[in-house]
Amino acid sequence: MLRRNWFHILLALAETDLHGSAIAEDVLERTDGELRLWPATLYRALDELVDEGLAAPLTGDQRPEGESRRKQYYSITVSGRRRLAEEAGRLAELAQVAKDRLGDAGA
Amino acid sequence: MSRPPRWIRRLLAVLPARFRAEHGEEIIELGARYARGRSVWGRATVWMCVAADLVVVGLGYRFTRRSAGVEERLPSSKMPTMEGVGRDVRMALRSLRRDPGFSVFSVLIVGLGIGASITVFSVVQALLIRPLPFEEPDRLVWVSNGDFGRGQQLSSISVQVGHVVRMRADASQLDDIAGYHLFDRDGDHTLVSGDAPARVTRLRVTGNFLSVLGVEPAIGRFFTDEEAWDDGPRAIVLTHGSWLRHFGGDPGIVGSHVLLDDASASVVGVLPASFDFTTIFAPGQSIDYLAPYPLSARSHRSGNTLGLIARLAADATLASARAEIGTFAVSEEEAAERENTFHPVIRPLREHVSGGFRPAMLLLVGAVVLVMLIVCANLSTLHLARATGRERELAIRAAMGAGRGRLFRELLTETVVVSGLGAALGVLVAVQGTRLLSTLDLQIPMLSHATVDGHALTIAVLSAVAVGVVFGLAPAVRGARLQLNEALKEGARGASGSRRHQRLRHTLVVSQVAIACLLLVASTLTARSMLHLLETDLGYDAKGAVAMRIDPAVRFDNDEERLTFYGSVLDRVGGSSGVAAAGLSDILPMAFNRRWDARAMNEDPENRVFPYVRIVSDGYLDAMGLTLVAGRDFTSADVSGTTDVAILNEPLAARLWGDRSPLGQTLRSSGRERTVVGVVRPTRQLSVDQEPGPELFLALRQVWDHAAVYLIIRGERTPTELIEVARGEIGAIDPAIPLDRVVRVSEIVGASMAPRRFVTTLLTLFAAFAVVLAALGIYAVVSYSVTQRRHEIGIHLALGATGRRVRRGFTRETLTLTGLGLFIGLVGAGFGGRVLESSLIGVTPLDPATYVAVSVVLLGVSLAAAWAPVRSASRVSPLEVLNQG
Repeated sequence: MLRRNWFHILLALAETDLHGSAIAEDVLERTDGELRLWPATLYRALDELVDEGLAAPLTGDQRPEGESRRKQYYSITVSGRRRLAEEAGRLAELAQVAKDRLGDAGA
Repeated sequence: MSRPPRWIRRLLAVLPARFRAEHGEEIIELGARYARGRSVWGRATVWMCVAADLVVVGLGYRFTRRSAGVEERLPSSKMPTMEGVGRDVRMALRSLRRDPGFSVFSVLIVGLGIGASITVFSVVQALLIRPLPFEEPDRLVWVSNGDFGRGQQLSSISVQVGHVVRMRADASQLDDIAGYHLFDRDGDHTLVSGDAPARVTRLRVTGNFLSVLGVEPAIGRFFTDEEAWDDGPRAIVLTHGSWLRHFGGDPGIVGSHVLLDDASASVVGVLPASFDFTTIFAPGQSIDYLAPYPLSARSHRSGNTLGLIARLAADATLASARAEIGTFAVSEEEAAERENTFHPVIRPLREHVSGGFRPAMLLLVGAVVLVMLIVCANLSTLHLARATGRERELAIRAAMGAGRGRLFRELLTETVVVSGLGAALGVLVAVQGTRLLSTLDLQIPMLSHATVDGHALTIAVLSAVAVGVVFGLAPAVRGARLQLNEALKEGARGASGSRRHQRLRHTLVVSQVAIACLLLVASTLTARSMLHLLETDLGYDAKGAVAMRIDPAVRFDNDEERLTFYGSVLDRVGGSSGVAAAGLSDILPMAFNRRWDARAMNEDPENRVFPYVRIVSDGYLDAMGLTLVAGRDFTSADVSGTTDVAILNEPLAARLWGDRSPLGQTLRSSGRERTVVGVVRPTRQLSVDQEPGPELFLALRQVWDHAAVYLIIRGERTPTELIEVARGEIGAIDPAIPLDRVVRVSEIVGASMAPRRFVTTLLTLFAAFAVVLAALGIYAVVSYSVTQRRHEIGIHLALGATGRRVRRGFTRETLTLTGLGLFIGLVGAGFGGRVLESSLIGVTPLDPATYVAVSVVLLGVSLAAAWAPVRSASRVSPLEVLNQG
């Protein structure tokens, strides 16, 4: 089971390398404003993801072309993708169970 | 783009250094991005959220040892282990023991603060929050007749039976309506259980009384329809208290017969202990048994008698019930000409019971919030001063490898331990305080139910943690960030590092003075209202008069004998040496009240007035100290068979006859015509803070509508002697006449002001506490400042500055801080004064004298608090200081 914040951050990074603010905006948009990652929480979570080896900070020359030098970019690691996939599978299973039960109830 | 506020950058300090360095800028930037495009309030909200998030994350890091930077990172656990916490607490306790004065003071301050908060919360909870002990109490409403505000005037809020009967039949929005008789009086009945007769108090209720409230008798049953009708079998239901008192809690009593007022009555049930009618509806009184009150044609003739409680129907709302009963009342007006008027006012039962105390309770809540704030500010000041004193200790430990996170956590643990101990003390204070309050007879409904419960304890724990964190945060952050070299250098005192924190200390002191000022203004204003009331001209002279109840009903069967008895009591007691006047009345001030209709004969019959009626004997006016402005007092010749006479007070005379003299005029009241023989000055008979209303005095020897009477005596002797005289004389007439409820009239007046005195006392205590804390804060800051600048002072003195000049410098600092605090406090009080307005009497919220007095007191207190440290400043020995340097 992946923490909710971690899940959403990894999900954002799964598409492309991003810096903190961009992650927060992606999450906000994707959850229709439901999940607003407050700054300190976001950066702590990023530090923790780095510690766990699920995400990695990009060094200077890895930054996307023309992007701000000042901001720290992050990318998802291989194990990060694996954990994200596991979590997605778990959620899908849960969703299936839910669908089945609701289907039973409706029939 | 919205500019981030400056303080948010400062708040970044709660984050560990490395984290701050890496992400600080981006954190602020993301915050700004969230704030963009919002209103002022929206931006403020966003930044508050960002701040809260910072604090949570920052503290999380501190506690999970991930502060990196100095301390090496521990690999696994993210939560502090229990072992670690235990060690921290032990360290904290050890450190606190090293400085017992400081620790005891801190614990005491937190303890008193939290104790006060819990006590007030418990009272507020009992009065305003905890549901009434009935089934679905939210569906219960109080139906009164007219709305006369705070001092409820019984005759004018009560309803005549006819309206109730028709309303029960018609109302679809009310499930059912129950009522109780508002004029049953204390100890008017005699119950024989065993050998001795006991005076007991009856409460007459409608047959559906318990079912409307949703209460079941603990034993037995409630009244049957037959019992609850005219001339039905006499049945009573005992209250739990009287069952224990009079029958020793014997369940066998149910079903048996007792002797009540010389006739047999069967006890059909006992009420549960939880059904405590008096604490809810009539605080300060007691009820012994319930008797049925039929809703019949006969009871209808008694006029307005009932207080009504109704239960809303399942789909009804307060508004729909109001609308329906309003329409009903209009139709009653048209249909029933000969009935008393009915102007229904429906409100939630809870509001009826304790709504009047709401403003006072909210005032107390506001006051304890201020008290808690000043406690936090004060402890912060003390702790900051202490932490500074420990700079060397902390710096050395930091140098020896203790990480910043570690030090931060230790310092914070210390404050949390202090506030935890304080909370424990606070709970003790609150338990005692609440117990004390609940036993006082303050005439506040449900106060006797106030207890410190789980909710209150939760609040204690939460406030302890909050206090610990709030007052510990600043010192802890500062302690943990200490610069080694700065602290170790002796000469670095008073350098930029301390200056930076000087502002924080000053802010804390100024806010303490401001809060103390607010509380002082509030308590002074309420105390002045209280004093104003104490000096209010009551219209009668409460001092020097004593009253006692004599109950001739048990000895005499007919009116003639009673009359003779009254005559001899008045003659003998009134004629005793040292007794200036003696009189009888069926009502004492501040208690029971009743109104009858009255109108002037040969005048507009529509001009009906409902004066308060007192049935009094000759001599009563003198004994109570009323002032006769025209005509005469009753005499012993005003007996039945002669012309019925009446005495009015000025407001009633003015209402009935305007400017004309009422003497010799005839008024009609409760079906009889009476000639006006006297006019008296108005009196405050209902409550001290209510303007006097119209009053009608009838001659005791002509009216028999009363049971026991009160004898009131005034004289040159002490109250105790007066009582002895009365006992002796009445005993000489008939030793078997019961004489009880002996009381000084001034006590009755005092008791009626008990709720107000209660609020005033609490506010005064809070204000006193706040002033002491503010003084302590000033003392701490000035002495800190003096210690910090010893070196500087020494140099000044060595260069020829006089001690006086040094003192003047510090005094100026003190006065500046106090003045600033005063200014803020007074402006705040000026704006906040409106809250008080409704409970003030004889003084405006902006009373200049109060403001001046508060300013003088606080300036005086602050100078006194600063005196010792300021004096020590001028006694610094230059030689000593310079040698050290």
